Amino acid sequence: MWEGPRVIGSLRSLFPYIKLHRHIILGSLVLLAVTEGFAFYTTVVLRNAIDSLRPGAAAALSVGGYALLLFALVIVQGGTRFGSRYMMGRSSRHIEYAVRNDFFAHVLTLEPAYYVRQNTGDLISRAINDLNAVRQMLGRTLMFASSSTIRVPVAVGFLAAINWKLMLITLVPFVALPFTMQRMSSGIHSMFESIQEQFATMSNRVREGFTGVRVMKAYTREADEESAFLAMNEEFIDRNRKLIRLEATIFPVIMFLPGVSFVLLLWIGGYYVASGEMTFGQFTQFQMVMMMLVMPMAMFGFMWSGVQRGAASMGRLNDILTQEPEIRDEVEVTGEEPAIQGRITFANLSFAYDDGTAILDDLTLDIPAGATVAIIGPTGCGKSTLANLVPRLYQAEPGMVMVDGRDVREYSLKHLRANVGYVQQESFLFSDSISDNLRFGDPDADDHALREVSRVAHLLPEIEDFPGGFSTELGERGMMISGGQRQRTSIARSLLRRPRIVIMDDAFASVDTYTEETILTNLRGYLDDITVILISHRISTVKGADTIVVLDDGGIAEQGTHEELLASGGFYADLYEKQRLQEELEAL
Amino acid sequence: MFQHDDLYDEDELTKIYDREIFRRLIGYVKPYTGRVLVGLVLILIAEGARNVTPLLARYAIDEHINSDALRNRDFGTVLLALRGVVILYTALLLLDLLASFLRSYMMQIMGQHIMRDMRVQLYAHIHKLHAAFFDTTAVGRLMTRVMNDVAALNELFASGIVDSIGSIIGLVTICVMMFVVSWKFALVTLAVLPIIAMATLFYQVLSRRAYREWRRQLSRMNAFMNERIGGLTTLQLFNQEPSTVRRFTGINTEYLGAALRAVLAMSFFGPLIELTGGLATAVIIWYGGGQVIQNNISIGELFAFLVWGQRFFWPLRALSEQYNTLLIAMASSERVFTLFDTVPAIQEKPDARPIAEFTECIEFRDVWFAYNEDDFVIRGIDLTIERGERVAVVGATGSGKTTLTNLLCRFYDIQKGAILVDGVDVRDLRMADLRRRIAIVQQDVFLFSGSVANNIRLDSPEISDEQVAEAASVVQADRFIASLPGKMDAEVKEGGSTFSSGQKQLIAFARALAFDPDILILDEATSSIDTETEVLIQEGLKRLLEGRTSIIIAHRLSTIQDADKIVVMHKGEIREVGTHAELLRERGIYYRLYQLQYRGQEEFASLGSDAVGETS
Repeated sequence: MWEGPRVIGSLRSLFPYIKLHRHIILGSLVLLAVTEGFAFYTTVVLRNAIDSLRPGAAAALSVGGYALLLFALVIVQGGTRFGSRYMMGRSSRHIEYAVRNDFFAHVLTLEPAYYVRQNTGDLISRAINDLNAVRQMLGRTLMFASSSTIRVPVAVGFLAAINWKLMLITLVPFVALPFTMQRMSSGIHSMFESIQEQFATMSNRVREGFTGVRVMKAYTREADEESAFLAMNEEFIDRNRKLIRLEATIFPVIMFLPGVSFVLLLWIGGYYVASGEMTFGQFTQFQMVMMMLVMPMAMFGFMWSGVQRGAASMGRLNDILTQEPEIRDEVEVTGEEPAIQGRITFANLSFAYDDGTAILDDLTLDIPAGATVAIIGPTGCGKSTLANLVPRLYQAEPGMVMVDGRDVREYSLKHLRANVGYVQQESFLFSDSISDNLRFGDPDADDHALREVSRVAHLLPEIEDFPGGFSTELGERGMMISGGQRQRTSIARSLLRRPRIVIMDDAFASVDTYTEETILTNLRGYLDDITVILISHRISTVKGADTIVVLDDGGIAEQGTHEELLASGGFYADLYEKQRLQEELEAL
Repeated sequence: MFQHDDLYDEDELTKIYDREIFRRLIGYVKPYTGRVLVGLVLILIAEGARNVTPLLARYAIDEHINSDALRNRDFGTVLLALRGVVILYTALLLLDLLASFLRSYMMQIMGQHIMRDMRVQLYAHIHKLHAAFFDTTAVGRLMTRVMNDVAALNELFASGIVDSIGSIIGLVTICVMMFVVSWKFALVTLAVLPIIAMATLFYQVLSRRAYREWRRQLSRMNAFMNERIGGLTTLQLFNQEPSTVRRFTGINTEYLGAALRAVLAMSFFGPLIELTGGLATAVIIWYGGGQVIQNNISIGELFAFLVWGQRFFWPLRALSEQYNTLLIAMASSERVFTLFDTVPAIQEKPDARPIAEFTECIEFRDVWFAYNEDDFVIRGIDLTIERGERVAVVGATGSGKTTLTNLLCRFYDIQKGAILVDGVDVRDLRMADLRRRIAIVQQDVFLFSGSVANNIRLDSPEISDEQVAEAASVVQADRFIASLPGKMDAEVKEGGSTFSSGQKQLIAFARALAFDPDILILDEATSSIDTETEVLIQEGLKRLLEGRTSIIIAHRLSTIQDADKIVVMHKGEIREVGTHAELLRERGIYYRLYQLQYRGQEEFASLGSDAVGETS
């Protein structure tokens, strides 16, 4: 099957990158042409040298002279070939670099719904392995395609000049070469794709196997995990088998067909030499030029499978690159966007995830600017989903979520998110210093601001106790500090940007109630007119709120102040009693 | 952290010598010795067939083509005269074709098998490492070792080793042929070899460093991407896409620099080898030409030498590529072997004792433990837990409760004292047996990608679908599972990101129950569940605990009160032990604790049952 159109389709997106480096690529090609010129001239010198050995031949140079000329030629040739290769290798690396930058930048624009579906190991595998295949294709393809383009016609010309009939006969196997290769290499594309896919699957398995190593150990799953991984490896071998069979055929065939050509040269060319139509020097040159054809022909096979691999990988990169983020700026922002006051309105909000799980059902809630609203409710009632909708990590239908009476879609993502400080349930810290982590949203913040938010998040004394102070490294995912410290770091990180709306999604789970209260009090002193949404299942967190909303089954079950809800004796009042006891216990 | 880690790696790397690495790499080929031998025979056949052909050409040239015998004879006569040579030549070509194909196929498949062996061994080895190792090592880094570094070794096994032997065989056969024809001529031609050797040495120094740096930068970039893509939501919330792209560009630029240095090294050797090949041709013409004029050798012999001279640099060139492969493989294998050499700090004794069932008691005898030297977090604990007992451990955060259970499972080894299960020190027990008797439910539940059912049975073939369903229903996880699309087969995404913490917790309970442990440890298992959900699982929890020995950490009071023994921990020490009643009589810490809560106790229980009625 001729896969040309599919291959070209996959590679089209590379053209702009190649264009950027066209000067160096062109320079490399010029040097390549010069190198090829020298190579052909070498065969001429060799022919003359051999013909000068005939008894009574009139030679332009002595044998030593020819040898010296040959030596000079190979030296120059070596230099130009080095230059050509280096320049090409350099360009391919530069292109790889640019594609990887763009790929990574594009991945960052995709919304959670996408990368939850498309897991991160797969994304990384594409960025590293597939891009590698694309780069190899660029290096090889450009190099070999160009050298073939120059060599093949020139070589055929040389051969025809020596003896065109002999040329026609000896080149028959050479002509068969590319056709044979193409027939053999059809299907490589899909084989390679399926191999890469299995590789990605295995990578994911390994990563999870290590991330969940505690569970593995606790449940002694190591042995079964090993056999499961072994099975995946067996599958990997199976998927490789066909490709290997094909590739094992390619090289021997490349050796065989030119061999047949040489036999023909010996046989038919032998006659021309014997009959005196051809000198032995020409016979030798004929053989040399034919040998020069082997490499481009051989590389044609490699080139094609390389191109197919590269195209398969580029296709996988394109899958991501062409994925338009579903959540993106929907309005053309001209000039300054209106300052956000902080009123949040959910109007008849219904929301379901992509997989059809309905989470929120016709929920209406108006949170005035500057208010503190607490949302409480059982696990899975949609508290976090509600929070996700405000900074548009997920998005509901137009008109359902509004900030200051305007649909959240009418703000730029940048403006909206800069004004929403969302402290997530699972705080994600980066393997940088604590100050880098705090400055995450505002790299230009000064030390004073840093100390201030640390104080507000009740973190300052502990940071000062660290041997490294603010420059203490937190390690992967912030694992070098405690869970409570991580949570407070992520609170401080959000506050540093002085958002107009703060959403704390279970942000105090690893923090004791005293600290929690201190932080909430500090928060009001630090940013006094902001809107605060507190999501929790802890009464201590929510009781001071202006309004407490009890969420259940995607809708509002109860709503009121702490006192009102206690008086009404419903879910909240129950919860309050239970937790009062529980907290008293835990306080000890 | 990554940079620091990399420096550490570099230090580690210098400790292993190349020959040692190579010896170990060869160790992986051992199981396939038979195949390798067949491969070598095949390569001998192919190289022999290939390099004997110039002799045939010489014969054809000197005896027929260039001889007076065929001078000016007709086309048919010349063809007929050359018939024998042509047939033999074609037969040799076919032999080469067949042998080369078989060798390549066999060796590539072998490479795949070795890669599989290595990956599975490495994966299993890493799983054997002590828990503390994972506290300090980035997962992205480990993944790179198992997947990418091992992949980098493939070519070495698939073609590198056997083919480089083949290249050497090729060189040797060419030399032998040359010497057979003319030893003087052969010696002169081979005079170019020292130049090639020097070039190789030069190349080795140049490329070695470049490759290592390249791999290091790749690993660093990989780790960065892994982390940033993992924290994508946070990035987006903080509008940090542009700054992250800038930082990534910086890392990518460093990677590019390393890659370009590798390219520079690589671009050197190919032309260098060709140059020496050209040098050989010049020498052959200079010396051989003179010899032909003096009639010391025939023109056919000169031709054969020219062909050998051209072919001489095929194996050389191949060797240089194989050397490249070896370099890549060395850099990768150093990293892989460093990991293999990481000895598990916690190991099973060779004569470790099996334990089929937990029958008597768990005993902590004057146990002292520190994660970091001398910073003891467990200080002289003495505690006995009888079979079937329900023991509650209470105490403030950092008092050592979780550590105690980690020690029981032998995730860490203690510094002083002993932990005995049925009278046997845990260090003398088979680790798998010990852990199979215990199930831990932790606060942070890790879910694997796959289905809900698989997360309950953890891929164990011994747990049937019915048992999975039963476990889920006992802990009352069935209600929410039933609401999932696909129910038990519902897809769980990486890290369980589509589930709430409470749902994850329920799955973890079902998991623990499905494994039917003798000893159950609940480590703050209900703290991320809201009270409502907890009330819901109270009944399930009760059934989960039934008939089992259990250790419940900082659990809520209702369960604690029922406990046979309550252990009050403070700063790594046990301050009080006893039943609820005993501890009350003691009038110590627990008494005060209880006083504070006593008033609401009955109320709590009744509220709990109310809530169940409301939601179910």
